[in-house]
Amino acid sequence: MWGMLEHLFQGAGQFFADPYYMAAVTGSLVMAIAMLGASRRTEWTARTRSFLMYGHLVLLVLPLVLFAATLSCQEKGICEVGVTQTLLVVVPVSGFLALLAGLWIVPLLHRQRGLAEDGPLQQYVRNQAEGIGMRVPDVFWIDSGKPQGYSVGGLKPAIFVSIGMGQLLSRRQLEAVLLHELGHIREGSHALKTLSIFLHAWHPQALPAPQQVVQDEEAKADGFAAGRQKTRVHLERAKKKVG
Amino acid sequence: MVKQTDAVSETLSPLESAILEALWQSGESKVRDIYQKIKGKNPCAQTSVAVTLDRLFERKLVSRTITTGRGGLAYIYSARQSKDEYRKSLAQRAVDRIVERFGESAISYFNEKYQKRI
Repeated sequence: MWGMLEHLFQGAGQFFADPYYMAAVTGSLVMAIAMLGASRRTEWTARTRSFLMYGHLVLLVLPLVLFAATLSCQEKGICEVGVTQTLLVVVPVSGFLALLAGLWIVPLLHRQRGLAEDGPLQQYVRNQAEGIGMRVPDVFWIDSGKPQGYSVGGLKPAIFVSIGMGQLLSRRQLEAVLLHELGHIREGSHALKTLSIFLHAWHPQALPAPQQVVQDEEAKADGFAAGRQKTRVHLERAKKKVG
Repeated sequence: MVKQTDAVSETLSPLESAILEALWQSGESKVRDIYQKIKGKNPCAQTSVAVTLDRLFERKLVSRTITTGRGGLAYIYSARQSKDEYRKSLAQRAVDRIVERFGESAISYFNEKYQKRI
């Protein structure tokens, strides 16, 4: 433990004394702050904003990784630098990768729970998605009597509708719900919501509250559904029914 | 004569009780059919009926099967027990609880109180 700390202090002294490393660290942090600031712009798509948030995370971690790479053994024999380097690199990088992988793993888990829909709902979603040139998400039923509807993004996007929801809504209202979820997938809202929750916990003052992000994304998805149906009536009635 | 009250409505909420009564009367039904049947006496939203049915299913008081219709999948609900069976199971549970709590005293009380009736 003391050996690790000793190496860290020694290494930090050498690292910060080097003007090239200092320039790299400053540049990285300035870029990270700029990306965080840009990610607040609600007029940009959720996909762009998510990309900026990921970029912000990468640039925050970069100086740490660079510092770890510069650490080296000062003496022969058992060297604890390897452990220090591993901790400095593996912890933030694995956290970052977990955040990225979650966006693909979570959809897969949801898909396993659903019952594949190959009837009229899937056909409707296919027509709508192809009509606007986006990848066709799969539609699944959730075995629940409670009215629920949600979607997941990632590599294999999917829309989930509970059987209870299907029984409660009229055909047009159910289509409005499907379009709303299609809007989320098209916009890439899922990654933005996850990242904003994570980043808001990290630095609360720098980002709008996740609730605000969710509200903005819901409004955009509503707008997409209303635009495709050319009326808000079905969506509003569906919302009123579901409560 | 022992005064009897409706055990079903005492152990369930008014909406749960109305839904079970409707299922006992009609047999297998969809959410919409149950809603149509009870909405006169029990003003409520169809969503409440759907959510309550889901809760009754989780409590194993109703069973459901999935059917494929024109608009996709749908549930058909039915009561797991007849009304008499349900009342009997309630009585059993209540008596078991009393015996568990009071032991011999409860059994001798039941003997004294209801010997003549049996």
